[in-house]
Amino acid sequence: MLSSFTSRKTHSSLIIIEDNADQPSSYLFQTFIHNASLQHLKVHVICFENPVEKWTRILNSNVNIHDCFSDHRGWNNVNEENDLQGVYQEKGLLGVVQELLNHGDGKPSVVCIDSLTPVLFRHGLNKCYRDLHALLSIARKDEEKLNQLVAVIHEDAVPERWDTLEQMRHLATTVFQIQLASSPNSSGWGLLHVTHRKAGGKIVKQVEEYRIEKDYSVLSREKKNQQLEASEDVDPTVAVQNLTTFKLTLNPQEEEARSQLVLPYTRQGRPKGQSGGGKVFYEPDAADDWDDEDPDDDLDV
Amino acid sequence: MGTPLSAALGIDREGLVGRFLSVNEFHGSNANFVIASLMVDSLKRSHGICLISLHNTFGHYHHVLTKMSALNLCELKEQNAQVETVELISELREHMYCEDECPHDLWDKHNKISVQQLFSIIRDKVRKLLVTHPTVCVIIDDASHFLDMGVSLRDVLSLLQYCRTLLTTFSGVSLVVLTHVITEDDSNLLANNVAHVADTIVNISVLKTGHSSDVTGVMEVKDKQNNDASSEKWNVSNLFHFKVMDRQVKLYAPGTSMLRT
Repeated sequence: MLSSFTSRKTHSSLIIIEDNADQPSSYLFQTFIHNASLQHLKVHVICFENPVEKWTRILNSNVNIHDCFSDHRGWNNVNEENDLQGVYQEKGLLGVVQELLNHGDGKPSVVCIDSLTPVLFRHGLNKCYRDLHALLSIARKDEEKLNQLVAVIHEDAVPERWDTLEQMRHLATTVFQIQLASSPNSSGWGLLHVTHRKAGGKIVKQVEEYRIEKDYSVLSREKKNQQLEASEDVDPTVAVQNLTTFKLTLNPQEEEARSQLVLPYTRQGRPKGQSGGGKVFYEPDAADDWDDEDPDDDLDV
Repeated sequence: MGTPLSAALGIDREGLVGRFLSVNEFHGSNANFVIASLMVDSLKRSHGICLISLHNTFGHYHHVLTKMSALNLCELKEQNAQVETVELISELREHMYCEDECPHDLWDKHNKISVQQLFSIIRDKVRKLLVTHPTVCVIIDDASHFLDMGVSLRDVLSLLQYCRTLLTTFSGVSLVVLTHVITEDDSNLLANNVAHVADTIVNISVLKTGHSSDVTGVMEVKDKQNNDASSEKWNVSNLFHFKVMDRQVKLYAPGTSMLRT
């Protein structure tokens, strides 16, 4: 499923990528941006969490990168060239995106938000939710204007964590929860949970393994419960013998001799008259003082 | 050049220039040696230091650096102009006992620290240091005390974000932020937010199984600086054991401390 979203074969109006500090989503986020930029779309990256310089050296030159990071509270009082930060301070996320859409060139826009966490801290959950809901409505009504929103949210760094995450998951059409991050240089597959809300209302949930290549192509496969499958029948004795130079197996004569061995202090069969159950068989030695009398006989109890 | 710690952090060749380093001090441990080692490393490279101290006084750093490296921090501050400080402990004490208007307008009308004014002071000190030193290291020790002083988490994160803008506004500026982490607390949220944006993360914690005379604690270093597709260092984590002694810090690979004593 993931590869169908990154290649844009499957459409989703609002994609939310959930990550945490140990499993960052930066490569997956870059993949969405890169693949959108290859198509006839106008891609906007709004930087709330990282400086613009971080993205300019990684992304294609046809991606529009907007700075809402350097002066998000207006402390520097230097924003003549960058009105977007002033719009962000007054109107929040909705104002910023509407400003970008109003200056569009007719191409459908894809808006990528590097992190919703600063927006949540700056304007609060209610405002952020309302803004995203309004943007989602725009995207559903007019795909030619706003084709898609992609946003990252850090599940371990948001205020009022459970409420925030549940509200965001409820709002999004697709949620990718990263369990194990993948990068072009990681040897293994990453792992994520996909929840997709189809246009008809049906919700599809899937656990997937994914791998991002250096050209931002994505391989993904559904994770099966049975991790290991027996590829061929292998003689277990041969397999064990191959692991060591010691002889671990027995030939037929040795096996027969072992089966016939009578171990000491074990009784073969039962004595006559005994039906079974727990019994103690005591054979006194010559030095034992065996007395058949009951030592309690002389008690007057 | 550099301390053993700088080699472990990967800054022994080029120093901290342009990087954002986050130090997380988990409850029960003491990460002050990291700050001291970074200060020694920067001062020996003739970098300027802008120290925002909330946990220790300036005298503490002076004594520690004197023991570690024979550097006289007072002299470097007063004569060489290599060190600038903002001692918020002293500022808080003066504010508490100040009847008239205080010389620094660090406090707003609600008697809380104005982070906007604090950032303005930090920026001015960095500008002043950059006149005489091409590289400056801004050190905040420790950011979680802002929360203790009543500053909201939102304002602390805004302050740190503006401090990060110094890395792009001025060339040659680096940032080190120490956070004391207590789980299920705002300090944990603060540390997590910083961890997402830092280039290098250093986690200092005690041994989980108890105390040891050979090992003081555990240091985990995670380098996230190179965040492009060709990097092999992305999100790689290295684990060390460390022992803090009177005049030095020794680092070991886990399990090798006994072999080296």
